[in-house]
Amino acid sequence: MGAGSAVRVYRSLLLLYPRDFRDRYADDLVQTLTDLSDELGPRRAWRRVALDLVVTVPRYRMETLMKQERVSTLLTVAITVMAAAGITSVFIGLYPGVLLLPLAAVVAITQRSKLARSIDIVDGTRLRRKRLRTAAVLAASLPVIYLVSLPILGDQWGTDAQVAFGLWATVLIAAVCYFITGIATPKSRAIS
Amino acid sequence: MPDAGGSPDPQSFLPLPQAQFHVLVALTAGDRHGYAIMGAVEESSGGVVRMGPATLYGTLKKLVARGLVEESDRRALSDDDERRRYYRLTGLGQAVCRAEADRLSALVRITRSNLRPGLA
Repeated sequence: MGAGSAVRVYRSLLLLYPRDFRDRYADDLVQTLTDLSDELGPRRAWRRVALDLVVTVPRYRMETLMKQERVSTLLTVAITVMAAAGITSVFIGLYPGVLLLPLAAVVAITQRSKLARSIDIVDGTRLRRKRLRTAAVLAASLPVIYLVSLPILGDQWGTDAQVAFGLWATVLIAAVCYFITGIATPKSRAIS
Repeated sequence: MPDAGGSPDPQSFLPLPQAQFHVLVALTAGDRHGYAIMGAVEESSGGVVRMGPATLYGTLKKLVARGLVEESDRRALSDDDERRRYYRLTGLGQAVCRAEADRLSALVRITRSNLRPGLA
């Protein structure tokens, strides 16, 4: 393999690395391969580079995946999905699904420090208050939506009733999600 | 953990991962570019530690992020590739490197003392 082809192949393989790593170091990595080839010869250089790729690609991918902000986002999404699925399961008659609600709460409470580590830097107390306030507003609107939709809820399960029920369920899910993420957000630490 | 002056305590970085310590040691001799660091690590370890390119730059990335190493203004010599980036130890990097060396030195002392010939 010629030097130009080797560089092209290596550049293609660098696509396996996380974007921020290759954006920052791709040129340096290629330069190092060239240096290694000049010093050790192409075969030994490639042997070292191949081993390096096998070891570092999964490691750097995993490190990127496990970055604090990503873990927080993944946890938030998981909790929200569990809460929404738990509520929805009641309405569609899959009653065991309601167990997802306490499970979501347990995950939110046990993982609250991880969830909040990234947002804690900004202003955890303010965010917590805002989320709980939003949950309260949404919860308060539930009886209002129910009362407003009473006239259209007749014996027949018509389109209007379905729309009203859909709206009510959506607001309920949103209220639960805001409540869970709210209580999961710890207050900011006092600065002494 | 930051001390009263606001700079992190070098002890809080210990123990350093082996690759990070090797790179710091390589930079104690002065500013170096990536390939020179690789060579210095191999030499100082007697050929035992052979870093690949991605291992080296991944390690440098972490050291830069921790504030132990920074990019240097130094540029390559005229007969070398001008795009080469040079790295150097920061003040904190020097302190951490010294602290890790002291820690390892204490371990070596204890090991030598415990394994004195004739005691086994």
